[in-house]
Amino acid sequence: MSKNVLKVEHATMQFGGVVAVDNMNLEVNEGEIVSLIGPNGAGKTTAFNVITGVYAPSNGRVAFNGETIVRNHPTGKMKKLYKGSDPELYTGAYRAEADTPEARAALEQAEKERDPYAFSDHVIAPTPDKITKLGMARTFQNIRLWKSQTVFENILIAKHCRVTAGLVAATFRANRAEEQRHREECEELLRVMDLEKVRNEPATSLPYGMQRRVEIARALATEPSLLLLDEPAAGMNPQETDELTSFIGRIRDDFKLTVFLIEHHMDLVMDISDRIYVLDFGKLIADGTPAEIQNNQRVIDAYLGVSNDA
Amino acid sequence: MVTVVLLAALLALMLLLDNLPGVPSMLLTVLRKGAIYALVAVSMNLLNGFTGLFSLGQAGFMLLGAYTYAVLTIPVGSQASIYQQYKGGGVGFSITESLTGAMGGFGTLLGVVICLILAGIVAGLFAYLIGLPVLRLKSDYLAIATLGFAEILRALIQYTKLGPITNGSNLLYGFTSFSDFHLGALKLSTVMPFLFSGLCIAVVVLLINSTYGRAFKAIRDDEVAAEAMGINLARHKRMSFVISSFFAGISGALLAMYQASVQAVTFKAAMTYEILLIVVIGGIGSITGSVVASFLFVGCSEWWLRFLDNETTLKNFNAKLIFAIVFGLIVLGLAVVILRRDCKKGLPPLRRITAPGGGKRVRVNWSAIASIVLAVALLGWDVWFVISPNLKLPLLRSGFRMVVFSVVIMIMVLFFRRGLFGDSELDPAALWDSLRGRRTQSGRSAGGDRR
Repeated sequence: MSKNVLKVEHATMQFGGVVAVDNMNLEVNEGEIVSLIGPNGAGKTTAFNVITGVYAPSNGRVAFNGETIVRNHPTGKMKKLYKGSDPELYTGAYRAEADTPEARAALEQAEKERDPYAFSDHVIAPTPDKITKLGMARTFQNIRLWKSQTVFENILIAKHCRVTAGLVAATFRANRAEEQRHREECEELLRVMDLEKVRNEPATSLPYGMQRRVEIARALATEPSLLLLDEPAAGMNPQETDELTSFIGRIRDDFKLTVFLIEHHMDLVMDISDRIYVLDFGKLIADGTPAEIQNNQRVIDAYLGVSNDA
Repeated sequence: MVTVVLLAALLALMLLLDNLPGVPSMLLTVLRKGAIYALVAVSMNLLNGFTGLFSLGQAGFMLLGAYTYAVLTIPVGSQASIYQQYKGGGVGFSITESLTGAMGGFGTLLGVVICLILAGIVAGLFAYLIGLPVLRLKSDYLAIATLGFAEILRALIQYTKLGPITNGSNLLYGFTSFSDFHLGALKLSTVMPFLFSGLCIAVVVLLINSTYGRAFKAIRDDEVAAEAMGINLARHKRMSFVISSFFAGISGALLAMYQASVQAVTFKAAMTYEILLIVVIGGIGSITGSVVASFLFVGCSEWWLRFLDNETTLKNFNAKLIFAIVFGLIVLGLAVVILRRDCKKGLPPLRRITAPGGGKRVRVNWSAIASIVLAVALLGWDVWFVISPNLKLPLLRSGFRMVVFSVVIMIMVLFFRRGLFGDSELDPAALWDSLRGRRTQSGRSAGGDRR
């Protein structure tokens, strides 16, 4: 069995009284392409934001390559407001329940193995940049390229998180070797992503499909092992979507990536996904292979609907 | 390479201007003060234009730099008279004096450089501390907080309990200033501000083109994306804030050297406003823009527009007539241009139209009417000015210069938001290349004609 890359456990995100993501459990294994689908407003992007550190979840844990990167429990005002499940699972108040002391010790041991900080109030809520440095990169649903920069600069800036030179060294060009290496890597990325022709164009002047490619290239420049794509095919025509499908498969193989994506284009999702999770009203309602999902009655009712051809 | 040659030539030119007889002293004033303002403007641009943090604390950090420099360099001998209200003060040493004693002329330079750097460090240190709470704020809130901080500093420096060091609200003077620099008989008092300021600006330019500068620009363009791509927002914002304040501190010290005296009361919010004006005119996000604009601004404010602040009486009737004619022509010209634009869509000032009911009514083109009324009023005033016995020019009085500057910044912000250079740079090397390119191109086209 391949290594587990991303593991989300009991993740709940509550804004005021609204539970956007409710007790979500999912995992992504090495080399897989996993999709997260669901109707509009189901909480897919919120789930992404929890995983990448934009929001600290109200409750739950996220592990990346076996290491806990996010862990939280309801505190402060949220303690009273909290409507999700297991509010004590990630606090010191949590107790493993069993009939015999031996069974309880075993349970506690298992819990400790699952979560090294179990039975404590320990909170881990890093900012997104720290998570990116661990090797997780993302793209955005509404493209967020740096508008005053060219395509090449957009990709080069993303390399900044891998810079080891300090401020003074970088200012006085003592990091020439590193800078040169980063530039070469970016040129290579441009070549692989077929963006050489637009290298010096302002990034936001490009057609939509190409901007998406620049965004993916920029994410790849941070040297991730897990790539999160938030609706990469949004606004693309069928031909561009087809190209993107083969493109995602190709970069997965070329860069030895694991891919986790949100998408509404079902052709693309069914084509490339190894597994699919379905989210509805913040809750996971199904998971499985594309074939299983297509035949799952709950998913058909909530999201897919009945095909007109049938 | 071209840039380096040009800068060296610039320094040589300053040396020449310093020592040639007959150079207007106003020109030297503008050059010295312009060089110093260029550095503050660049430091403000680093923050506002390149990192997208709108801060208005520049005068406060300049104040810190100026005081640090002055306190550390006042000769021990003159401290008793300067600090007379505080029993001779509590400093008791002078870095430049000690170093001059130990090493002579080179010691003075070394001492000044050390004190300039210390001035920057003190400003940077305060920026670091104030940045911890303040940098969490966004846009206008950050501007308000930093503006308030600068005002607090100004009050704090004047606090009597700090008197033995800062001399309260009294003047500090007598420290090493630009006029103390000379090579043998050669005066260096314009070269030195150019040298110090130029070196600092060069460092800022290097920084902006380094990987950290690129990260700053990414934060300016899109914070969310920058953070998602692994740029630590808090750390980089703090970095930019501290570096900007460091150079603001150095420029404050340079300003102290230029004025040969410091007083906290001069570092008002109005000073930050002047610097903001320079940054906006030069273009937010353009280093060369800030530099060029600072010389333009200082030139206007100290020299070319000085006449706006003086009440002027015309000497004879002919001068008055010429003024009136020129004024009248300008008013008429503007009125014609505006009226032509207003009436372009077939809308004369007054027109009879057939109302839907069948009756006639008058349709009024209000903006055209307003222009006509204004033009007639101004022309009427013009005629009155000619026939009245008063030979004094109107409006010109103390403070009018600042009104003109404020009008200029309003016009800039309304119509030329990009400023002189926008966010692009004036690159002498590229300029040189393009000039040469044009020449070879024209040569080529000439060749084509011959064929």
